[in-house]
Amino acid sequence: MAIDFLLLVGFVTGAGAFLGSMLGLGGGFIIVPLLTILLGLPIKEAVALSLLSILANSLSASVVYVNRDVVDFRLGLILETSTMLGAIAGANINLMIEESVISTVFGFVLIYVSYRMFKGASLEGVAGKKIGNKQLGIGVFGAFFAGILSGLLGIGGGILKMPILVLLLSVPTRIAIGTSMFMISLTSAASTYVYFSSNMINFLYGGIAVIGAFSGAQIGSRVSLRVNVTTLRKLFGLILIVFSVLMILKGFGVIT
Amino acid sequence: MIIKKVYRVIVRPMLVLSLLILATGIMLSSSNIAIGPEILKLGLWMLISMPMIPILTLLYEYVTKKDLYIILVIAIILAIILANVYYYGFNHLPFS
Repeated sequence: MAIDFLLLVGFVTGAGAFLGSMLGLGGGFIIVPLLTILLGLPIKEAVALSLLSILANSLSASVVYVNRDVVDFRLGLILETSTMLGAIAGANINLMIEESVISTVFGFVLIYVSYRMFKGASLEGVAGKKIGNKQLGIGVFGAFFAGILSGLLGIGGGILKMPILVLLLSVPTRIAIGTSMFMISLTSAASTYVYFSSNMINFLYGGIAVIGAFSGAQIGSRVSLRVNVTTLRKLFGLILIVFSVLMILKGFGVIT
Repeated sequence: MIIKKVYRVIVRPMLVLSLLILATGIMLSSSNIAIGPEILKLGLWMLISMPMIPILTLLYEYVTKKDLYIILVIAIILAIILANVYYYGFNHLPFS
């Protein structure tokens, strides 16, 4: 196996995690398009590698959040039960459907993510409100959907979990970020297991992707303190629009 | 809280250890040494199974004794069904 290509896989996942961690994301939205468009890996393999990278990042971030006491374990576990089921379902759907369909769906989801990037990060809920059974039910259903997207597209799913936690369940933003990261570590482990047991992960690529992503995220979280995040979000939104167009074109077979 | 200690004492060192194992595996594999892929596999398994540690700790912390008995009964029933499927296939199950 060519060492150059191996290093490229490590560099690409590192770059994705670097950008992602500067914006408080897992990096799946960048890693999957970069691996498929730039390196030409099959999207199913890229999804599996992305999930592995997210798993390593979210685990290390969880350690920090747990130590800061900003994780609501009880709520996280309730929501995670359905998210994990969704993630396993999503990963199995991924293994069953055509690659072109996955590319197209990924492209459309990227449009939503770029919209969220332009709109801004701040989610303001009414913290401390009592969670009703109806809200919790909707939350559990939404978390299941977030799990399906995570397993299907190789993303952490935080982009859906955060609105569920903050807007629907009125969790304070600080706690929601910690809880979401704790949940992502479990979701990505569940879907990675499906890909791993289906022999979709090349061990060598997997190893280098994990190390690349872990290093990228560590550097990104330190650099993020020195850059203007608002400008970065808009720039990132623009990049994601380009990626979404490319992924949709790839899905329709216009580009290979 | 036990979970905090678990993250600090078990999860963090295990994460570092799995990264070291992966790095060793990559070096051995790229040098075409036969044991390389096996070491990589071990590192990836370690990483994937790591979230089980906080889950089990949280179960220990939050679940009551009564809940544990219910979980135990469900686990035994599931184990019997799985053992049946493993030895006799799906056709042997009562509902098939």
